[in-house]
Amino acid sequence: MRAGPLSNLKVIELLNGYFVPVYTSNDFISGPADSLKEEQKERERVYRAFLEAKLSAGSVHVYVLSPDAVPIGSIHVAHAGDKDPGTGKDQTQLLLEKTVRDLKTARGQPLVAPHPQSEPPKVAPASDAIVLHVTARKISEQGHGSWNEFPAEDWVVLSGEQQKKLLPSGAIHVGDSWKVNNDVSASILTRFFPQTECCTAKDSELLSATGKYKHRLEEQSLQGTVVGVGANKVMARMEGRSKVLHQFYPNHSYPPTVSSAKIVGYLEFDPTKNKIESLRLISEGGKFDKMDMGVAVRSVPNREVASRGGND
Amino acid sequence: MVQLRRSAFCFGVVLFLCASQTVAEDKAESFKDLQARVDRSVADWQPTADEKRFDQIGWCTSLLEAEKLARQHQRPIFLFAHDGRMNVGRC
Repeated sequence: MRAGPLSNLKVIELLNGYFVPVYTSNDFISGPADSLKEEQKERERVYRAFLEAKLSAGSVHVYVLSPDAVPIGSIHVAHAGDKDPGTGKDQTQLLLEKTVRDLKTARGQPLVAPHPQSEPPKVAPASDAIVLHVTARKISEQGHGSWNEFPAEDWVVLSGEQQKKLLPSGAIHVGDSWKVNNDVSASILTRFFPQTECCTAKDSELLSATGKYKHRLEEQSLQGTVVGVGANKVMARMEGRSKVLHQFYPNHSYPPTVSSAKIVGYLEFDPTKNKIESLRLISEGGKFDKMDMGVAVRSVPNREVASRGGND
Repeated sequence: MVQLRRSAFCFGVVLFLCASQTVAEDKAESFKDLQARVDRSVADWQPTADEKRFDQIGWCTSLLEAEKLARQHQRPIFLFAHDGRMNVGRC
């Protein structure tokens, strides 16, 4: 849907000019705690209202409602991108155009300013935490077929304590090597897998070895070698490897997918404060089963987190 | 037998040369070169503007907020219900 109708420039124009667009995840609600129950109740009401109106409804579905939240039309996600043979328009565009015609809606400006939907998590400005942004994409299949259209993104927050465990301890000299604490490296390397069918918004389920995805960081290592020492800055080369097993579809009997990578990167930190200034890692020769995979990790500068931080 | 020894010797030489070259290449990469190489891949693998077209849509953050705005502005609501997290591509 995201790479299909929601990337169709005509659909984008219609949504911004005539509609109030919203997307909801079935097992996740953000916002103030006191409104969560109300939001859940309203989602259930809308679902039932469509069934009562004899319109299609489902857990992954497009719905169009009137300004008073009365059902108007709906499309199963599998058909939302189907092209009409006569006009060449997708079904989503046709439903939006019909709604605008029927309601005689006046065109206007977007009611909410468009902004990046994948935002760094909120981190208290005074906190010594750092935010990492992980992107994992299929390279050989890029743009071809479902789950290959765009990279998966993850945000990882490392607390001050976790940063200490990522850094070497004691006196630091050029040529010194150290192994990163496994718990800390695991929090990053367990994300080294590209898009799959994810039916949950909860990491606790998606990344669980005993859950529906049988997710396991089967092998991992991350070590650093100091290559430069300044007054308040140490530079190090990072190397490692990862192997992630993950069931493509939840609760499916197929063998899990295997994402493996050699890792290389660099780290700059202030040894007097045990504070990471920059961490970047990339996969080398990464593979998602037989496909080529590229994974990149970058620490997000504080100013970017402060200006963009938004996702819960 | 002599030929076998010669082949084994040649194989050994080739292996040694390859290994030496790899070590030399590793040693040859300065920190700046490493940074440039890593930064290039990090940049290459970020989501592109085309892959993020849905960011151009002015999304509400909840159904309740959408309904409130719809009433206020007399606009219809477009709701996409889905599994996972579409915003980060885990869906």
